[in-house]
This record gives sequence, structure tokens and C-alpha cells, in this order.
Amino acid sequence: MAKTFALRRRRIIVTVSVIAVLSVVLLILSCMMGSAGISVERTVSVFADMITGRASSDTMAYNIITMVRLPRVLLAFFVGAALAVSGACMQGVFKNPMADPGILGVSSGAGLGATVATLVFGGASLLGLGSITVFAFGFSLVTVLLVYQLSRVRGRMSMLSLLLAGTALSSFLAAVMNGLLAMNHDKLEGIISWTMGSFGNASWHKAVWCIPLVIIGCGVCMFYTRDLNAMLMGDEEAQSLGVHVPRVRKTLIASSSLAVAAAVSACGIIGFVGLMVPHAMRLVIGPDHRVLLPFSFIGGGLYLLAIDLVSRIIIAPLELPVGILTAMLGGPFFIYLLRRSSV
Amino acid sequence: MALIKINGLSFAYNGRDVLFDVTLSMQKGTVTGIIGPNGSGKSTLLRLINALLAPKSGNVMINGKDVRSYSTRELARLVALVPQNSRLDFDFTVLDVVLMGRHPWLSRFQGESDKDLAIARASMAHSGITHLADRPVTRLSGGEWQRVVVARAFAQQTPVLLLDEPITGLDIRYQLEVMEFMRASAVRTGMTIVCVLHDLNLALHYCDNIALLDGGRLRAFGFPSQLRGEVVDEVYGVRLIKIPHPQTGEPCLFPRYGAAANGVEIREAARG
Repeated sequence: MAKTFALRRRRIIVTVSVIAVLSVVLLILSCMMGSAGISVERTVSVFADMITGRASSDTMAYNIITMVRLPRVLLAFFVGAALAVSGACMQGVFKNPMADPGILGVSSGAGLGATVATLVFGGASLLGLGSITVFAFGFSLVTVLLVYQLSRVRGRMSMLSLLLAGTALSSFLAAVMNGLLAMNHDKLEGIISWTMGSFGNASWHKAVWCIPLVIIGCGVCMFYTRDLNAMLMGDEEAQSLGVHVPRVRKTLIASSSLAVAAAVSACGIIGFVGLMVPHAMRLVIGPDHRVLLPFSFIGGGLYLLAIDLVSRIIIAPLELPVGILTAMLGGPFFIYLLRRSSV
Repeated sequence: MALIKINGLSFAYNGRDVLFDVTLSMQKGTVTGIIGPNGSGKSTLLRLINALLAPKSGNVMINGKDVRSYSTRELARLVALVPQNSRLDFDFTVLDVVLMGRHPWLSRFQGESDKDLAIARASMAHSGITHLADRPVTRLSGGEWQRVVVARAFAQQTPVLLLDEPITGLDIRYQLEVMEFMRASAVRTGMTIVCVLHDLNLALHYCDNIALLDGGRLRAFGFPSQLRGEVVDEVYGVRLIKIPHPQTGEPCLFPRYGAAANGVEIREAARG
């Protein structure tokens, strides 16, 4: 009887250990790799200098790591975390294992928002925030609410109508975005690379506004993990278990949209992370959101960190946009899930 | 004083009236059976008691307070629901699901304590699913899942329990076990139970009161012995035979076989 508990706890401990080791390895590798290679010893000594706060003797390595690679590493981690947590969250809210911010149109909404912001305001700051963030957030929230309303047929949510509404609205928004780009050739290049997702332009400036929003968005989601478990059984059952479903659902949609909007506006559209990571985590640690969400946060972060690393070295000295790699891995995984759930 | 008071309750769904001016009350520690043909408003009545729907007029009072004025969490500590068609597509274990019944008693970040676990295990024992504790719910039969949901509601430890056809789909043994346990809970812990049932004989035997709904109206309400056979015949459109049960001597209702015997018009047959 106690077997499940013990077994689950052991699995969690094993997973945590694996993740801890992986984090350190990935952190060091990510700081080493790049157009200017830095050896393991130099990287480790720079970290030692950073931690102890003493002036580094290896100025070049120190500058490359602190100015270029560290913000990139942090950004990649938190963007991955945001995408994975909001994916897990959306799958719970929509009671649909195929839900993901991308499929629900959040990413394309944010994409259109970011394009509009770039074209109209040139990305200038607005309300104390970057206009890209404000627009990406607003557009993604409106998009997911619209998808949500469209997929409700006679008060009931159907899996098929959800996917269809999300897909239809996504392609519509992508068309609008492409239309805007076609009329603004001069700004085409920047936005095209943005739509493929990349950490090539990572900076401390970006990291500083993106990471807090990701932490707030994901943090709010973590408040509702047990409610999410109950909501998987349906709205009325969750309500009779004491979950204020409409309020919890709106809060979760808003906060995960916040996290995704921040992520997407920092580094462009990166698909399938929100689908792959939570499902991979469920296979390892089970469906309980109280464990799933924290693990998706860390797992998503490490996954994107690893993908970013691969994107830097696979066709070096050029960089492959990360969005291309995640889609290449995520597409087949998505098909695998579809096949599995339909039998 | 009655624990649950339903006063002139009406409800309309998309402009179509489903329930008309229903007034009845349930005493603490009693089992009330709601019977009636399909579409007579039984489930709607249950959902109105659990404040899942807003009435068009009238109200439902529990402990002298309108159910709609309780917070969701307060109400979940007062009323548990076993819905009719429930499902879960994610592979939680049976124990996980039964523990979800503890949700209204836990604060936001509080994990389940040993006490919660003990309550969950006792509830599982009562609905005969102890051996399924570690089984993922995605690998249960319909009847097993039904018992998991009943156990979850028991684990909620509420003074009021609402069940929407809790024994539909169960084999006769578990039908009797669930009904016996309901009866025992009402007597032992003073739980007030409202239960939608299709099996008239089980309803007559296990319930203290019977409410008969017909097209959204309350046709009869009272002790099982007061329920008149002619009213039941008329509401369901059949002619039942009423005979005393060989063991208890209580009245039992049996169908007459053959369409003509019940005066039922069978369109399919007429069409050839």
C-alpha cells in the first residue's frame, strides 16, 4: 500500500539528483561553448571568481562569460521554464493533454503583438515596460480567451473544438502578422529571426525584465496545483470539492499567459517545449501537479538550455535558431502522443 | 429543524423550464431518494442543492442559510457530490483521487497528513476498493471508478452527501454495499443523504423519504409506504405490480412484461 508513496518519493529523489548534476554540467558547458572557446578550467575559475567576488586574472574569459554567456544561459533557462510550466498548466486547465500555449494561440498572439509593437512604437518603452512585452502580453491574453470562448459549445469544452479554434486563430494571427511584415520590408529581417526563436541577442537588459515576469507568472501557477488536480475531473466536480473554478481558471490563464508573453517577447516563438516537457515529466513522476509544475519548471529550463547549446555548436560558426530545433524534436513527439492517446 | 430546506425552487435551462416550484425539506440523518423518469429534473435538483446552478426563483437553505451565500470552500465542507458522469483521463492512482476529497479541509500548501490518509483509507474500505489503492484510475472498470468517486465523497466528511445515480452500472453486490453504507452513515454519523435512484425497489427499501419528480414538478413526497402505486404508474407510463417482499413484507414494485400490458406504445414495433 505504502509502495506507491515510497516508490514515488524514490523516483523524485533520483530525478532531483539527475537534474542537479545536469544543471551544473549544462551551466559550465553553456559558458564554455561559443565562437570563442573557453576551457573547463578557465570557466570554473571564472565562476569561482564570481562567487568569491575577487577580481579575475582572466579578464577576457570573465567578460565573455559575464557579459554574453551568462545572460543567455539565464534567459534560455527561464524561457524554457515558462513555456513548460504554462504548458502543464494549460493541459490541466483545459483537461486536454495536447494543450500547449502554442496550440492555444498564445505564442502567435504574442508574436503579432510583438510585431505591432515593433512597427508602431519601434519597440520603445511604454508604461515603464518594453512595448513589445506589453503588446505580446495583451495579445496573447486576448488570443487565449478568444480560443477558450470559441471552443465552448453549449457550455461544454470539447477537445476537438479546442484544437480547431486554437489552430484556426493561430493561422489567422500568423497571416495578419505576415501581412504586416510584407508591408514593412525594411523591418522584415529582425522579425523573421524573431519568429524562429533565438537567444543570439540575449542581454542582461532582456534578462532583467523577462525573468521576474516568468517567476511571477509561474509562481502564481504554483499556488493552484492542488486545484488543478481537482479541475481535471471537470468543473462541477472541482467546484463541489471546494475549488472556485471560474476564478482559478482565469487566474491560471492570465498568469501562464504572462509567463509565456514575457518569454516569447524576449526571444521569439519557440514551439513544443510546453508540450514535450510536461509529458516527459509525467512519464517520470506522474500527473500530480504539485510535483509536475516544479519539475516542469526545472526540466523546461534545462531542456531549452541544452537545445540552445546544441543550436550553437551544430552548425558552428553559425547558429541555428532554437525554435527550429524544438519544432524538429517536438513535431515527432506530438505525433507520438496523438497516436498513443487515440488507441 | 430541517437541515435542508428547498423553497419554491424553479430552474430554467436556455429558456426551457426544467424545474417548477419544488418545495421539500430533509431532516438531519435521513436518506431521501429522488426518483422520476429520465429528464424529470432529478440531477438538476441535486446540482441546485450543491449551488452548481443558479435557480430562476426560490432557494435552497442548508443550516438556515442560502447555499448560494456560502463560499465554494465552505460549501464543500458541508456538501459532497457524487456526480453521474465523471471521468479522469490522467493516470492518478485511486488513493490520489480519494485524497482529493480532503481538498476543502487543506490550506493552500498543506500536504495531506496521516489523519487525511487514514480517512481516505477508511472511505476506500467502505466502498470496497482498498485493493485498488495503487491502481491508476485510467485502468479501472466503470463500476470500479464509480466506487472511487463514492469513496472520494465519503472522504470529504460532509454532513450532507448528494449522489446522482451512485449505483447505476454497479453489480448487485456493490449496489447493496453502497446503499447499506449510505444507510449506516445516516444512522451512525447523522449524515443527511439525498440520492437520485432509478431502482425503485432499492429506493423504497433504503430511503426514509421518497421524492417523485415528473416533468420538473414534485408529484409525491413522503415515506416509502405512502407512495401510491397508481401515481408511480402514471408518472412512468407503465403498470407495475405491487407485492410484499417475501423477507420484509415491504411493498415491492415489479414490471408487467410485454408492451401491451403496460399500455406502452412502441413506435419501432408499429413501424414494422
